[in-house]
Amino acid sequence: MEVQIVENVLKLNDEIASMNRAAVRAAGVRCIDLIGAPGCGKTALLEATLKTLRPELRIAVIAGDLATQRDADRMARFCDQVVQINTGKGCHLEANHVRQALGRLSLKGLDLLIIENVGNLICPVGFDLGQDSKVGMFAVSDGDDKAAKHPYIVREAGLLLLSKIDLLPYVPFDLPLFRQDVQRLNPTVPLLELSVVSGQGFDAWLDWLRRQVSAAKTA
Amino acid sequence: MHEFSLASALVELVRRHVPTGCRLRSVTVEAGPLRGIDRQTMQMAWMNATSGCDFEGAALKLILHPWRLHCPQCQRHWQSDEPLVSCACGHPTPTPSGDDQMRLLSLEVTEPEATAAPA
Repeated sequence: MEVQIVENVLKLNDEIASMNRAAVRAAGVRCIDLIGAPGCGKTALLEATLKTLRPELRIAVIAGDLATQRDADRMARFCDQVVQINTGKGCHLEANHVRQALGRLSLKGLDLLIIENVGNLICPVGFDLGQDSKVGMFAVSDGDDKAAKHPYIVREAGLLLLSKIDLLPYVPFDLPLFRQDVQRLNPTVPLLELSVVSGQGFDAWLDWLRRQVSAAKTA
Repeated sequence: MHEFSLASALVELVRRHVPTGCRLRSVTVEAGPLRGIDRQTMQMAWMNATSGCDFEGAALKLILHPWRLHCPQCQRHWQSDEPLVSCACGHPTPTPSGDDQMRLLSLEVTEPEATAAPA
């Protein structure tokens, strides 16, 4: 016999994500999920961000990795609240990981919670963590075809970053093609091109974060 | 390999819906193109997730929806496995659309086994 259902396969994850979102919003905190491939510069960007925005914004970070405490150690130099989550074989964070991490953080007095997802441009995108916005990160050194090859993050992101643009003179990267692919897949998503090394575009990223925090305070 | 996480989530969801006393024969699931699901990997992930449990041997029927494309030049609508393709009329940038939904649609189960009457 057949049993008709029609239910979201990730319903259980989404239920926990909703609890996370409610807890973070109740504290007046904005939550960002940063998603990018290994080596695209997520941790370097967050190090520079934490260093620059301290003490203007009070920020906590949840760092997801398969293994090691290294990212948390790097960011802890500029941030009082960093929780490292090691997923072992898991290629992405799920809502329950964040639920557990929230238990180790004090949301009181925070402005911003940044989740650095496991380095992966595919799997993390489909799992709601309770964030307000997903930020997708590409790097010039990864090649100009990565937006076209990863439509899910381009479509889902509230902001896209193209990092390491100081390398543009040295690597083959068709910037107009990359921009066109992004535009075709998601005509409304903002794309910020930046370099943590040269500082180009970095202020635009900081301003975007400030606007996110302001939006949470006035919500 | 997000298929393995999706398969684990599917097992948990299916477990909520299999009527008591019934045995699972098959599961029908649909997914939008944004999910980026590879059919073979998903089948392997389902077999792995059900191995050794009471769902072992149940079939996974997977409906993978393609991208929908619209050409702003000739107004043609069509479907494709790839989102960024040219139109047959020569327009280089048709608009792709598609969702990320992944839904459990139905289960096929055996009839409930009759409980033996007490002697």
